[in-house]
Amino acid sequence: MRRLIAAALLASAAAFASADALAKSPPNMLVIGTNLGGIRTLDPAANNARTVSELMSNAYDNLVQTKPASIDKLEPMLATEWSVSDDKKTITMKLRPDATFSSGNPVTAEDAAWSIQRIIKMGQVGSTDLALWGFTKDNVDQLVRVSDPHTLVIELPTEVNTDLVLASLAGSSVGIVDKKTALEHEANGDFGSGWLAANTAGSGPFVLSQLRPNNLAMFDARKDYWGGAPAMQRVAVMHIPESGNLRLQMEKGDVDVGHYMSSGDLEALSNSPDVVIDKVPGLGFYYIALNTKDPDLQKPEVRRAFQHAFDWKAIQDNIMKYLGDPWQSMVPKGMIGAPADPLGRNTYDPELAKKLLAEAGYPNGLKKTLNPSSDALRPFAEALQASARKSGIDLNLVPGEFTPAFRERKFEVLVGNSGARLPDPFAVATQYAYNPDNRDEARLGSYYLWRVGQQNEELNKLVDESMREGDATKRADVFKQMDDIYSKMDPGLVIFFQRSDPYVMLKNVKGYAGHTTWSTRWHDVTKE
Amino acid sequence: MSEQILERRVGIRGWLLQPNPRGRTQATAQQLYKNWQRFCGYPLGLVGLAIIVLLIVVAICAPLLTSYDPIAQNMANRLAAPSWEHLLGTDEFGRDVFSRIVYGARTTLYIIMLVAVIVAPIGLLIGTCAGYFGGWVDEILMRVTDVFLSFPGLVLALGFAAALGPGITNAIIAISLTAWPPIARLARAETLSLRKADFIAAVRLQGASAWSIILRHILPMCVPSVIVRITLNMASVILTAAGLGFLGLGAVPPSPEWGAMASSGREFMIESPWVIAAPGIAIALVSLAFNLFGDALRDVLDARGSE
Amino acid sequence: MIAASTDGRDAPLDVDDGFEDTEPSRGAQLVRRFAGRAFAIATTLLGLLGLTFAMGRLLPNDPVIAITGPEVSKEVYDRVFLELGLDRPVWEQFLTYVGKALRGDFGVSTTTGQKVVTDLLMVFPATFELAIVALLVGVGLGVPLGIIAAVKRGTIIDLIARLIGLAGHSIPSFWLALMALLLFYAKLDWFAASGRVDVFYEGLVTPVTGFLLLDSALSRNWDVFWNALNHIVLPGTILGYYSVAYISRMTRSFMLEQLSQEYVITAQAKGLLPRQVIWRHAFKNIRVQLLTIIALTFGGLLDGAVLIETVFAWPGVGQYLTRGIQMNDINIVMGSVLMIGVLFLVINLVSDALYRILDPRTR
Repeated sequence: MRRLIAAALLASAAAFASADALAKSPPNMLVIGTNLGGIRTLDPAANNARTVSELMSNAYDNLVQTKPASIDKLEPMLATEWSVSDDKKTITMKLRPDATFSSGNPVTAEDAAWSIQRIIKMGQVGSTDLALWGFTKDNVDQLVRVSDPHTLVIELPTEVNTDLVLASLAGSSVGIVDKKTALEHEANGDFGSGWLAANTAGSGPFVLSQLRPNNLAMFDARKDYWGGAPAMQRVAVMHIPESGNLRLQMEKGDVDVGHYMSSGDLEALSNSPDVVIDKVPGLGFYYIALNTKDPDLQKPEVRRAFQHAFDWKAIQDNIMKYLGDPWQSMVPKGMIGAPADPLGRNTYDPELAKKLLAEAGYPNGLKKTLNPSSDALRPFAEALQASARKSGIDLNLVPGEFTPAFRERKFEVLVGNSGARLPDPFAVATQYAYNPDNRDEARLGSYYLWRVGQQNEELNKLVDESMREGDATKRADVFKQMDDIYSKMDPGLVIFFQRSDPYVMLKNVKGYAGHTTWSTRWHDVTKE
Repeated sequence: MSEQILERRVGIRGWLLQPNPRGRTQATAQQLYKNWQRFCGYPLGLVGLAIIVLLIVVAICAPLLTSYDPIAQNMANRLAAPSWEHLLGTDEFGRDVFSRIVYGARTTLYIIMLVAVIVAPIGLLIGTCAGYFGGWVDEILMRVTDVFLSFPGLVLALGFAAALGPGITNAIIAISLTAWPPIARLARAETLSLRKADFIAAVRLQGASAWSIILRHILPMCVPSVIVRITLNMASVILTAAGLGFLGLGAVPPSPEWGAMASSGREFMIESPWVIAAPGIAIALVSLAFNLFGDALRDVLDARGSE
Repeated sequence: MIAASTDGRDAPLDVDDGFEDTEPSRGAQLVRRFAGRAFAIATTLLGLLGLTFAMGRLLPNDPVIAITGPEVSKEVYDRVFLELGLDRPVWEQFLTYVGKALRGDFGVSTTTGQKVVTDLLMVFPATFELAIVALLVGVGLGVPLGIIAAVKRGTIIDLIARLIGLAGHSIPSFWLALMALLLFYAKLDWFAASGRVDVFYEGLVTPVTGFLLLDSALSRNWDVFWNALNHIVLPGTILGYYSVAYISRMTRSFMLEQLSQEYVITAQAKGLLPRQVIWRHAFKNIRVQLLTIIALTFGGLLDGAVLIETVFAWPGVGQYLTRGIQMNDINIVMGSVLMIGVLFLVINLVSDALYRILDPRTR
């Protein structure tokens, strides 16, 4: 027994010693702490969420790209040059000849055409943007075609602003897939989707070497990448859902980059000399959603009461400090058509809110169930709950993951945040102001306006117009009109903050620049 | 005057110690008194009891102990360190932690009381029926009990709490589902030893129905040991509730619940340790109290059994 | 039945029903006992399936959406609705569920996109490894504590030993874990905080058994081994501490029983040293009882692992289950709960069998 204890002590002493010798994250490896939960597949065609967009953007190249510093300027990637025909109906793209896939196969126009076709034919979330331009599984084979091995022709079925189309090609869902490799693993006509769920077949600078769901995604650098070998030989993306744990690991230097850190940890880290917080503006909002299918929330006065029931100023400098900036228009700040100062729209005024409720027939207040769209929004929900109480609105907060219920219109009051990947107000307008069919069975869950059960023909028309119109001044005017109509219809989506995504980095990490459209690329990352 | 009081005191003591009790009340009282005297020999048990009493007092007198509203937010004064104004500081919403702990005692008490009230009758009824009727009734009831016993408690509670959704009532139901089987087993074992007893046979001969025997004679006899057993289980009930709260499946915001408080305090634990220290210590203290009390209680009653 | 524990979930399956039978022949008795046992296991298993099925039915989300994802057309929705048999009566759905579960088919997870069985097999070794280390800690601390308490019965040492054990059973494990993280990782930097191994050691050892400590030792990859050991110390110790109360109390009471026996008194009279009496005789006699207790503790550790894994980002069944709960992933919740239940059942059976086989009195 005594000998056993001695052995155990020795072992633990050795463990201590090895703890001291523990190398922190090595110089040629980038360690990213994030939340890998909810990632079902790494197939670009089936994804549009934030974390997975970043992963795919590094395993797959796009035809064109935007750089984080200038998201409205399209730059070459696999396509070296492109031209738009005079009738604005055809885009022709020249592909670079030197790019290869991780399998060794060369990247050809055939791969590019097939990648776009499969997105449309699979019809999953990755197709959201492309489908807007009028591509369907019946016309895409004719419209997206190859004219020679390195020339791709995209013909547009409807009249569309070609800048929008080109910008959509930079989205992470339109990563170019190795057709030959994918088809080798095709099963039951799934376009290789089953295999691509846990493997990558792109021409990007990194290739997936290990994937453990809810745990780890490991990427190895490709030395033969056409843009030159990346400085980081490996990138480990780790599932660290506990913000506090992630923060500790960053303070120890075990993790280089942290995503989804909670406001409390961000606040604490902002004082650390070893850490940089990059607050990247996002294309979306923090909002309160009110289901107008609910008999109480159907009344405009009740919805207006909610506009004045939330003390957003109290949380802007703490809970929301890194997560967003106050904003109350459906056109994102700084974009064409955005109002100069919309912050006077939803002032916190409990008395006014009470009065509005009384007018609507609720002199003794109103009781509703409040859900956050996900657990990360819980502090936001708790703050709303507390300030709404003073306005006579008693919100019963039930926490959990309510995005699916929201998409199904099964909610009363919900707080959530949205994001979009197309750097144009049009993208946000389709979410917030567009609803072609308000029936329940239409199941248009990707349109937020459908989720809250509202529809406005004028808005629909304006959104369509903003998609077709090529002239920037005219478009600015269209967005202004939209904003005007929207803010006067007592929308079921009350906007309070414009989203931003905080990326936390160690000081010695250079070249990691969070991208507004979530396609952050690791190629230029170095460590000092 | 003082002699009279003295006499009366002797009188009560005398009544309690009288060698030949007259009537059932006196017998029970004497038994209780004897147990109490024995219990006093367990200082740790007394400490546990004292803490439990304190918990009850705090829960009842919550509004008298603090002038702060436990759910009122004050963003201007968030995460303030403990001071005379806020004895245990404030949390991330500027709520007074002390008043949340004090009101949290109500939540805890509410949970354990309801669990006890749900679990005791169910466990007793199932256990006594299985024990008394035997045969296939026993077989079926005990199979069901075994099924519930073959899940680890927290996992089963977690599964049901997840299925029912967050909320304190759902948490109570989920915990109760995991807490009744040991009670049922205990009641069954007691019943097995009782059902052959002479007085039961006598009652049966008088033509009493099975149900009346169970309800009027067997069940009351099982109550004391069931109470002990439930007391012993209270610590694990508290910990399960806290665990559910920690995972976001217990009480919903803003109601103060210690487990949920510890959970939401995690974010701030390095700079503002009071946010997480206070609820953790509160949970530990109360469950330790029940453990100590239950332990002593069992020793007292075991000693009685071995006499 | 073994004496009660504070958590009250200690009872091994016992089929002795307390009613006397007439005395049949020994062979028939064996057959009957075996049949009874098999029947008991089968019904318990069915009950487990029933409970998890009930959980799935109670979950408020749409099982069709759980499979198709939210972007689904009416036709696909209706097709999947029929495929899942949601139009059939509940009992038929239950039978389908039982059939599938018996074939190891727990469906596909909506959050990982993989079969739940595949996921479970991947995460299970991590939990098992953690539980084994925790058990070593629990036994290593609990048994000596119990013996000392028994030998020094009624003294201050007994009291302290009891308090140490009880504290482990009273302090919420998740809270203790957070405190340990704060002290041993954030302040002292002695141990690692999250996961099974530092990320730069990932993938260096090919999984053979799935137990990282064993795999790395077998392949003589000592860097990985020490790193993995460093990672398991905190979660393993805290999880193990939770079981100390139970193990030490049971050890104490077993020992007390032994120490009051005739032979101990005789041994003492013969002039044997107390240490010899304790180890050679008393401890030897309680080994079998201890073994059953340890087996039962192991089941309880699976339970505690759920919370510990969440705090330490330990990629095991517990983390998988809590993630499933947070994401409303029905299949993960049902699959994980069922697996833990079955495992618990198996452990109970094994401990029961061990007792029957090893204990000379029952042989």
